Amino acid sequence: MTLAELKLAVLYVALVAVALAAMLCMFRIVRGPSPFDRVLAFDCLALDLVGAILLESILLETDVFVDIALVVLLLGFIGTMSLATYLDRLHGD
Amino acid sequence: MVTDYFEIAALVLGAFFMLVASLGVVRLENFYTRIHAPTKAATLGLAFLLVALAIHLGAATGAAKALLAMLFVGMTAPVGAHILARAAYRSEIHPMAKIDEYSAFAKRQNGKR
Repeated sequence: MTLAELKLAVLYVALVAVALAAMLCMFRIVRGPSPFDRVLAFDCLALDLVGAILLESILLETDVFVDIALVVLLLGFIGTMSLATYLDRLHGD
Repeated sequence: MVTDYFEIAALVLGAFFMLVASLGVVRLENFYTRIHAPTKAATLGLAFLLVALAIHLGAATGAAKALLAMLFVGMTAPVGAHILARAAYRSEIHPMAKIDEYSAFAKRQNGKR
């Protein structure tokens, strides 16, 4: 096995692992007893999505997807912050 | 090439840490234990994947963008986790802690408003 083949195999295995991680996060979103668990799993899912975008970017040998990864990262952070603030106002006090 | 070996190692470590983070989200039994998993492990896994991308692209623009993303995720993940844990505490999700020093502070804060 050459080095390029090894790298390709590792890339595919890493993609499968990240997809599995995203599926586990989806399980926690569906199951989660409290809304906070769901928000936490959503945060983790956004990070997994960014990881998948980065792996795909390495696979396609391009750097344009890094911008998309940055945008998804930002949207995940804003989503987590707004959901947490909403839940704080809803249940708190 | 040596850089190829570094890239493969970073890929393996990154994917492993992302998988462990999601496994922790599913398998741990309490909200405050579950919040540990993605904030540390997923951030580390993403940092390793960004290192792999920076090694692979090599050029200045790709590596700079990867560094920017690493800085950004390092700044936002703790802030998001803190806000979420604070909201959960104020919503009567009690931690299983013997000593709860935050409870007196939270009560004082509630009285002030």
